[in-house]
Amino acid sequence: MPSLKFLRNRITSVKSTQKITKAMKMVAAAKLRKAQQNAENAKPYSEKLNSIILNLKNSVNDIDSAPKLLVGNQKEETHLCVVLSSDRGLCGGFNTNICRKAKIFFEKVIGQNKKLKIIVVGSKANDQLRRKYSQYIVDKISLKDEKVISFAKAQEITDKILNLFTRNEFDTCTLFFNKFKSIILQIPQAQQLIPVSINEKLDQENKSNNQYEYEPEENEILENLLPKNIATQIYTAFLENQASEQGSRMAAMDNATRNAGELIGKLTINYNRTRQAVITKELIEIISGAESL
Amino acid sequence: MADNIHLEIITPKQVAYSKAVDSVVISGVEGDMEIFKDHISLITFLKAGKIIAKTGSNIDTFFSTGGTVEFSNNKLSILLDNIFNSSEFQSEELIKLKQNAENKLGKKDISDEEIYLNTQIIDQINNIKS
Repeated sequence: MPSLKFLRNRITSVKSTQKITKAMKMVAAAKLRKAQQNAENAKPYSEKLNSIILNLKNSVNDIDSAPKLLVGNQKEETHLCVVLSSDRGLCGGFNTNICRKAKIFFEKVIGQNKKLKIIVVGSKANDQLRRKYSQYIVDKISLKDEKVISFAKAQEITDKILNLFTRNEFDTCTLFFNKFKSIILQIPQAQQLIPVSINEKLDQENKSNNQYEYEPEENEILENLLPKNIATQIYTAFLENQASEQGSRMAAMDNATRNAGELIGKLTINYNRTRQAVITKELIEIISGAESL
Repeated sequence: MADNIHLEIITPKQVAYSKAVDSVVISGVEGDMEIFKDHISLITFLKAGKIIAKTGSNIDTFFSTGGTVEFSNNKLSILLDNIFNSSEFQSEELIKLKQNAENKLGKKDISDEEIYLNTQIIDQINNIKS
């Protein structure tokens, strides 16, 4: 049976852990609300941009002259994967889920004997992927200095990707991130950035639209809009990811607080029993001592 | 003029403006234009400049360094990289944007189009500040 002192120390330590997890949960909840708001606010922009691009895509007939970002290189030899994660831990399965999703994709690509390149964003993805895939990682981007993810950061990543693309270093680009469904549910997603993937539902809606006057020419507009679209998609993914991270952390910390509470209960019962046992033992000793006199 | 067009100004951060207006003046890459009701469906780019929304005698002025415009079915959507309303014309951020443009102009491998757009940014920012 553990000593009283040991139990007492244990209880204090669990209690202070509980205090921390409780505070973290509260902070995550506050941040989550903001992150959700941000993600919500950014939606109209990306949706509109998407619909404009779809519109343009429908009006481009000649595939050969269309921008490469739209139709791709017409081959799928080298895959670039961008894995978005967070820089901080203690958020449940958040980072692990993204990495698991990404790893399945990596294995598929390697299995097909195609080339793989990886850009990791956030240190957690790097930690999880570098052991097995370090030879494929071409770039690491840290989010350490970013308190709130800005559009400029998304732009910076986009520039890196576009740079690689113009040098023909990859053919398709896929983005991995967590989509925020609810506090307890975040779905890891793989989204194709290059060539542009078509959202079928939006496509249907747009077919009925009338013809546009373009100024300047369609292709010129596309060439300008497509990089912007990629930046926007990355930015939206960032925001979704951030909301997911906070949601995930909140759920994880809620669980941790509850578990700590349970543990404290058990330890307290144990502590009280032990204390009572000690008292009883002492009494027996005193009484039997008195009897023998 | 009773009939309106619906103007929506959207930035990556938020929907900045959403109102029915009479007409909107925008500075497109190929020249300024004013859009009234029943304009032909249109997609174009903006260079740096003012966006002026007119409703009766009320005039709302904004400034942006660039964006995309879509007009269809009397709905005008303006997607902007950034937006400043008239009270923010003196803000620090504009100075930063201007310096950014100047830095870009200083680079060697810059296309004619970029030179044009960045010069516009500098000119326009100087313009609204004065």
